[in-house]
Amino acid sequence: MNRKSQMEIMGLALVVLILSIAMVFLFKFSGGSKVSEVKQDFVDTKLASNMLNVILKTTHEEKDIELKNMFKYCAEGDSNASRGYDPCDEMNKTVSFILDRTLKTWQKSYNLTATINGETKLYLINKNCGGSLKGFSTRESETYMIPTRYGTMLIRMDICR
Amino acid sequence: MRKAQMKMFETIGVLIVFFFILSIGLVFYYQFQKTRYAAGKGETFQLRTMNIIQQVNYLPELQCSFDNIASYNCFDIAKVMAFTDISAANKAYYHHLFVYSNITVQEIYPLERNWNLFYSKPESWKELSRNQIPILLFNSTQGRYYAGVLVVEVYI
Repeated sequence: MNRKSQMEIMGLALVVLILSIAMVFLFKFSGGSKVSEVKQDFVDTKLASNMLNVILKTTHEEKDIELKNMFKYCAEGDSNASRGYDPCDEMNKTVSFILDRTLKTWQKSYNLTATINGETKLYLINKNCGGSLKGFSTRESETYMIPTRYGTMLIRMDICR
Repeated sequence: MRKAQMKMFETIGVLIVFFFILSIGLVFYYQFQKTRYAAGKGETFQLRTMNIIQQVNYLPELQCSFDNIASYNCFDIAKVMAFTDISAANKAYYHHLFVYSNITVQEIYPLERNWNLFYSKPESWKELSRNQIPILLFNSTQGRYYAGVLVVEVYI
């Protein structure tokens, strides 16, 4: 093998080496453009827990009782006659009012469900956040328990993204 | 003479190809570094925003407290009203905590009221992060809870 051929082989090897290094860089940094979702996760987690807390602890303007008690009265089937008003109707109106001015305005997909013994759906608001995770990448949830005479009522808030 | 010239052209050609490939590599490297820097900057901004939200949420000047025990996710309306004046009078101190931001408490049920807790806007800014967190507002004179929203806007 003469000197010229050796030089050509060396040159080719150098070109291959440089291309290999370029490819390594390309693969290494190709995932770097993904923007961190750390804040969105934080906000959604806070949103689910804070929203449920607000819904349950807010005092009803006219009846002067916290909404979690209205959930309880509604689940226990207290009639209009015993309290002078329909707790389910009042609760529905107030919760819808609060959700319309928060999650609906912010265009968030959410679920609010209340179940007793895992079966009875007492109260359900479903706004573009299906029963499964179909179409959503993540879901942040918060659950609150209220004892009733028919068992424990589970109130669950889901925020879907 | 002719052979030597050919040799020289060959060497120059090899060098041109070498530097061409090297420059492509450098352009790639620069682009990736730029993307990484932007992502890192975005994350720092997000962390700063989260930090401000947490600081407002746990500010003793605003939190509801019962028998000296602070209540989570609850702002005392009387404290909120007083804080609007306190923050204006001590802007330098709160600027250290909240940097360039606009922090507002909104009551959404039963009434619709607003209180601006802090406002500091830079002369020029590139990005604005707006965050809304549902909160409880406690009316200590009547012992009632109202529904509200904490709005935190951070400028960068």
